[in-house]
Amino acid sequence: MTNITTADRIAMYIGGGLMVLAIPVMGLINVLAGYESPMYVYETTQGGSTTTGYAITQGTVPQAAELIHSPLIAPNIRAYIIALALVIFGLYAAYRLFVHSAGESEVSRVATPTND
Amino acid sequence: MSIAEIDTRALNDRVTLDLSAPWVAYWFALVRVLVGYWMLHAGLTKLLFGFSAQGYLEFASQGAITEPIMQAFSSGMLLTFTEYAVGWGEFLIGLGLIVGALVRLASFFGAFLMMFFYFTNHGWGHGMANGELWGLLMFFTIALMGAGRLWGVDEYLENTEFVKRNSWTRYLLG
Repeated sequence: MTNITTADRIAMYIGGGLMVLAIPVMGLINVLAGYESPMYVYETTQGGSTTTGYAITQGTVPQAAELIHSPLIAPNIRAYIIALALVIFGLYAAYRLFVHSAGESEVSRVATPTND
Repeated sequence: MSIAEIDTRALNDRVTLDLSAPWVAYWFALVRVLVGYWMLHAGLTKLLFGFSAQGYLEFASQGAITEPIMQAFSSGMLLTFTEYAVGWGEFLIGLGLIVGALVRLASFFGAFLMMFFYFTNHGWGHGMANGELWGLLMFFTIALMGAGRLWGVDEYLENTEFVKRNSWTRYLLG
């Protein structure tokens, strides 16, 4: 396959683009804005020792814990974007299996010598 | 060293890839086996030593985007189905990758499982690019490369008359 179709472009641009947006782009925005973790970070103190925990939403931080850090971009927003990208890749895979495979006949072969 | 030169187009850019063909074939077979063992181990330990998904489905998913689905599967027949599907699924996906059988089909379901683990575990304390994401991407890569032909059963299956007459089966094999 050396020619790419519209479906290929949709999967590459949108699927890959969303993954890049959600992971490195939003991740860098978070970090450069001063937010080390993409999660809600809390501390719980018990018997003189403090432990750090990570929560995915503000609502899942334990009641007895102290919220010490909230991310700039909520992790579930990034998660939905990644999920959408995966759905697009999955739809493309289904398209290749059920629709495009019937018309595929061109196979380019590149033979390489086997003795070095 | 044999170099395969591939001229192609990625999005709008033409690119020439110079690949060491033997190393590409070898490397993807090696990665296939290692990823397969990772998955097989996860499934085999569940099958041999017991496994209950209820606590994970009910509590680990709280706040995650997969929570509605996980909560629905946390009791009754759906829970029973999940416990069988996850244990046997991981085992069979891993076995398929290790022996190189139905590699693309196994990789698809491996990615499917990893997607749920990635979003449900939300182990993102140190960033959203974590080991589970790499596992998911490795399954994509194995499916893309069709790594079942070297040291794999798929090489035999692809030479059968059935597969030759039904080109769609190439999307299940490697």
